[in-house]
Amino acid sequence: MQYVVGIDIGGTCTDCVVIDDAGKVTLGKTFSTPSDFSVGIMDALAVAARSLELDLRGLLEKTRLFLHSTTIAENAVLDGTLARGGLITTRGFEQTLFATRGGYGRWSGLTEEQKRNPMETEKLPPLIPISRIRGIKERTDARGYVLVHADEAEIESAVKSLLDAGIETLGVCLLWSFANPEAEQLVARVARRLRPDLFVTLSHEIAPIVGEYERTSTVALNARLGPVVAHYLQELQSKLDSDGFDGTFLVMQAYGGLLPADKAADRPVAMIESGPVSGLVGSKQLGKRINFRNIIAADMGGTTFKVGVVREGLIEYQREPMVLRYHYALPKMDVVSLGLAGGSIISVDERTGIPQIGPQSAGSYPGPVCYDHGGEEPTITDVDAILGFLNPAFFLGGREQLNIEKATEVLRKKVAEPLEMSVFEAAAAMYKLANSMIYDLLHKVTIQRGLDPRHFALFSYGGTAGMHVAAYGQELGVSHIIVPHSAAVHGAFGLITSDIVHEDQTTSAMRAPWDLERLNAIFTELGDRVTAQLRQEGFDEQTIQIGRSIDMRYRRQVHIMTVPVRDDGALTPATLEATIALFENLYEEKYGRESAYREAGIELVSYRVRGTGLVKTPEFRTQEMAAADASHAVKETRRAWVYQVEAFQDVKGYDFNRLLPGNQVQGPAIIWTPITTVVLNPNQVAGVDQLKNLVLTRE
Amino acid sequence: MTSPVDPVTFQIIRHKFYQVIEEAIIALENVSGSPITNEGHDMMVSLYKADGGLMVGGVGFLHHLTSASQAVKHIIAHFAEDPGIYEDDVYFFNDSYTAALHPPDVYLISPIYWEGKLTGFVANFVHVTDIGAVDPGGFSPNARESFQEGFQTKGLKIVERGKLRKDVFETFLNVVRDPGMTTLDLKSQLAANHVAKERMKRLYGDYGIDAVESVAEELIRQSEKLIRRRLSELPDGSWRAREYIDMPGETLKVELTAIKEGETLTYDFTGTSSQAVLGINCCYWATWGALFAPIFPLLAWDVTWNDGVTRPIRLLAPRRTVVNCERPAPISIATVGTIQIVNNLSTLILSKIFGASERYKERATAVWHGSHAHVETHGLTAEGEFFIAPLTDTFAGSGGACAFKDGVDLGGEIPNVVSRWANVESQELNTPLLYLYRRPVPDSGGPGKYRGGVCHEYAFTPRGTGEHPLGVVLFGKGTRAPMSLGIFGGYPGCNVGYWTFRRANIMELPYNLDTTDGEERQEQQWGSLELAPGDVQYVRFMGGGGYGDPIDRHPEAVLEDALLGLVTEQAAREIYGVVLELDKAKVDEEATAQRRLEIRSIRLGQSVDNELSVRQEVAPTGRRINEYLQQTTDGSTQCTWCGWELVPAGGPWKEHAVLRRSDISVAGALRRENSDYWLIEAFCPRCATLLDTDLAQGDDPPLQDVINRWPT
Repeated sequence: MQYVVGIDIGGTCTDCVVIDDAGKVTLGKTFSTPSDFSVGIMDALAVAARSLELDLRGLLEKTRLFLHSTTIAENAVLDGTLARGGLITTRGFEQTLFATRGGYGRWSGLTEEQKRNPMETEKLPPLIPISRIRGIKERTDARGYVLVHADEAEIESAVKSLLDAGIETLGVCLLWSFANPEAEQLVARVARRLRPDLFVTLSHEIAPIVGEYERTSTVALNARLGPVVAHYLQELQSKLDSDGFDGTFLVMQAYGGLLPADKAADRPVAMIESGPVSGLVGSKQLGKRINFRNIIAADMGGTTFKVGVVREGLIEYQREPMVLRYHYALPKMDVVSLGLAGGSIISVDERTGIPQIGPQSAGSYPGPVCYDHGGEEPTITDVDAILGFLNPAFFLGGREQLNIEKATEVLRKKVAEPLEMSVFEAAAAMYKLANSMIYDLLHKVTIQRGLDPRHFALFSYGGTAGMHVAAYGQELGVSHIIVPHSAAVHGAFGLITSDIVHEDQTTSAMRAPWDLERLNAIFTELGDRVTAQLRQEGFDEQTIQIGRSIDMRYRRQVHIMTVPVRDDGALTPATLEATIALFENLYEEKYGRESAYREAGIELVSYRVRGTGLVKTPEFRTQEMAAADASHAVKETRRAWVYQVEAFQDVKGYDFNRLLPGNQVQGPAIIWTPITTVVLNPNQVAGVDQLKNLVLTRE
Repeated sequence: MTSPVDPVTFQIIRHKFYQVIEEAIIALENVSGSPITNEGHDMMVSLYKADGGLMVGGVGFLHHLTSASQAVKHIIAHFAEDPGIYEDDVYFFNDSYTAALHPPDVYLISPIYWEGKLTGFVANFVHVTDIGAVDPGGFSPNARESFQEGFQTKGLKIVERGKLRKDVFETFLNVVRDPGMTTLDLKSQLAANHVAKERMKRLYGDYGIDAVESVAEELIRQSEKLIRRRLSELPDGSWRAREYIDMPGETLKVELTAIKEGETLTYDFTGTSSQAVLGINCCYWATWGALFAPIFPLLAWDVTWNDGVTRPIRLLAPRRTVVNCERPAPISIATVGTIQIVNNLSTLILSKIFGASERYKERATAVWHGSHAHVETHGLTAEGEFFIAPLTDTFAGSGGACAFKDGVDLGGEIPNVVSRWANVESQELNTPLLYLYRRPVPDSGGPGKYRGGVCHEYAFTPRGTGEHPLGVVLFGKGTRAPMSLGIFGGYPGCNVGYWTFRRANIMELPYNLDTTDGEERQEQQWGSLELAPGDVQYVRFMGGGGYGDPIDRHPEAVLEDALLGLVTEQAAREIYGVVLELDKAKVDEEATAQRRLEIRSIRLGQSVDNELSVRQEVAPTGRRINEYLQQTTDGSTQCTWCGWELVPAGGPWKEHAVLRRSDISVAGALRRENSDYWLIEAFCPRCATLLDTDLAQGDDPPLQDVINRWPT
């Protein structure tokens, strides 16, 4: 028997999913260990191994693929534990990072309320200080024409002076380098000659897009993450190896694919927020398996609520990705966060008497009041406990006690009394407010983008999600609500359903009449490069898929859209025409009718190739369907808040472990799984499917 | 809470109002092709009540919040009967003499109906690509009358019951230079209003019209209550501020007195110059809006921006002055002209009031980004296509220094809290030109205890115009008069600079003003010019104002500035009195102490006791006047640096301070030498601390503030 292992490190927990050749899935979950994440990884592996009646070595020796997503990259940025970086740029533009496009760096990433109070806003310090930035005399124009060539001697002295300044990593971002990379390549050659082991990041490689601020920022982040992440991956690899691992080590990228660990080490900025992306990819793959092509994937854990959208089986990319308010420009699957989850603190504004939830979070320590870890501020989890949803017998496997009495007292004092409500009224009101805020966020990522939630299924996962999903899901009007079997370890689940993806692109503006020869030459070069890469990694014709796309825009308009080329082989006038027609349709769909300024003509901007190496992972094992009756799984009847009727009622509580595929649970009801809780409205029915996912539908 | 709506629903609906605006703004950005809209955020969307009152103001240029309210009121008053305001109508409005700010900032106003009843309005503006004025792009430095400033209407129905009026639309397009892009501007505006309207209807449907209206009314009451309470927590008195507009051939003065009494605040512009020959004039409602653009974020930062904020405020603007002009005075440059001056004065005067309050002293700020040195370009590309393209550089801005921190370098501006520039690459992709450099300017920030944020400079040359010249339109202010004024002894930011270099050294890739050279070098300020291939246009902005006496700045902060290249070694020594050993990255403490004492002695013309170079322990009385002054319990004015009582009870303190009329270059390099503008510096006669600085032209006197009462 061989195994595929997925390990996802989150803010609070490290999740592990193991699937064997027969498709049997084993889960493991432990607390994350930020001082040395590998400890948590080994713990989670050991938990899973025990379930399989193996030891750690036994499991690792039989592991064919080790798939990994981690918060190491975003943590290094948040904690400031980045490498000492230097930057080479075009002379006259050395302060691009410092300038942050003017006030943009001061207000971007803030809430609407914060933006309205500029007196209390500030920029972050630049990722690389001016003392370690060197401008070189060189200039390329918008069409890639070189006005002034870079001088090798000048580059050499710039690199030397940066090395003297003690840099551990070098970033290079020259104007229009993606239109003509020759100057950046020259800098790289010189740097590697002077210091062969120096980590070098080139802007035309890491972020070949228009916009020097975002591109430089991406370079700076990548450069400074490089040595940190490379070290982490190397250490982990050697730890795994010494415990008997002999398989392939792949790392998740925020664009939604896996890369071999050594390749991933070159582009660490792409690992930022790859964990939540894993969850989104997992939803997409699960959707494929159970026939949903339109999915709203919502992850509600301890500190943040994250949501992404799968549309017609595809995931969209984020508009302006940011980490700690530092911008970066990489294709990153669009996951939007809101500081609202189980640990979010509830307060009441003294002057206006208006209640507020978050964005501060109590985390796991001191945590919600009911955890009894010393938390003194009321949180959403406390509200859930007061409303009767949480069951101490199931809470974290029954290992931890719940102090609901204390939670009730704190909520009374800090929320109910200022609002002049009873404590239960206040809890119900806060429950409603939280659901409404989540609804607004979901509204933003669907209706506001022209997507009709009625045509979507809502996949809900993460520790706190199940207690709220029935409420906001119903308001949103989605067709189905799915609580995946893997809900509590969904990120790790996403990993084992992902493929290896290499992306490459070139930017070169083109207008009609189209130069097909040039266009085909570009695609051939990109395609060959990506294919060679995949072949080197052991993929063959059967397991390599190549996708091509073109970034286009209407001239004189700002928005650029990525449009897939739907045919294989050389582009013909007909395929190009079809691609342009698709662009016009997509543009109109996204930005509204008559929004295009067609008279200005269309411009092709960049050309992308995405090579996928299909990773062979086993099929999940399905189970036989039993009868609908779920009464055997009733654990107890308890008083709990029923959202729809706005009252406390006697509600049946079910033990998820005793539910069988085919069972139907009629709301109002509560279902306790070992790790999470699902609450049903009276008009909802939860069916258990063959993969033990809960499928909530309206009666 | 008097609203019948429960607090949770209240919060939900309030939240939805913001969301409606945000969605409308996204629609606007999505459709607009214009970099100043998309990247610079030169736009605004707000919601109005059925009577035109401001219901919920959005972000973008904030002077429009109240002006569009006035436009809606005008449409209700004049067109409700004929031609009527029907469901799905859209009105086009841009007349400054009625409500708007200047002709290219076009309001599109849509009534919102629910079940057959008019329930409110949504209005937005963008700066349209062209308005058919004498100069391309909407700013008309060559106009002498408003009649030369393009198409202007007090209300024109361009959509009637959901149907675009083709005759009207095409009539408008017929008078503008770039009808394609201008069409797109209007379409983006239509899309934004449409989205807002649909979302408001959904809100009515979900919560009921009564609930939504009662929340809106309650928010207005709440804002008014909180602003009145905040005003009553500030001292009573009158404060004065003054700026100048240095135009070709004339200098205009804008004088503002703010009278704070109880829970009301009155702004009085008596003493302001007569209306100008050139288009920097403001109509009454533009001045009103310009006052509020800083009032919202500075005084009303934590309440909903609506009519409630405006109710405790009064405006007195004498007729036929630059703050209340009459036809046919040209107005097309108002937004970057007198409106900006009023923004600056409103910021300064609120900050002076805050500075006199123990409770609010940390809200005081010097002027941010005092002058929009905005540049418009136009011409033909090499392929012969006509274009108009504003450069977005002016949206970078620079922060004013505050009572507790430095101004944010390239930090934006107060009247538009979400502005930014477009990347060089995105500018070059859309406009046939090439940037040679874009970099922060050392010593551009106003020196002070806290330094004003630095601004930037940039230079560009035509590229992609073939043999055609590149047209450039300029309308600069602040090339001689400082406009980013400091506060409580802080100095102003640098002057604006425009230089044109003919047949320049572009192949040497100059990287700052010093390295830029050409066969001819011309200083520019105003009007239109053409750049031939190989010519270079250089522009420098104005750094933010400083806060407090520069020799009160922490020497380590000066060192850090010098190491970052934001302050030169010379300015450190001359102005901040800090002697640096830059090669060792350290401060020479002994030399610094000596130099600072020397500066004090020079200020008074006599030696100053060594012990007074450090701030003494002076017990606060609770009657703060500014950073360095307070009133004692017996009513005399005391320096809080050294404890000296300058003035016995009752007297205006400036008459007892040591006054020095200094050349503005005292504030550093990049300030015009030997101009007819002065900084009147007021020093403590004992310790020589710089207590205040006033800008004056010719013999204009120092400004006297009077505080009558501090709240107990």
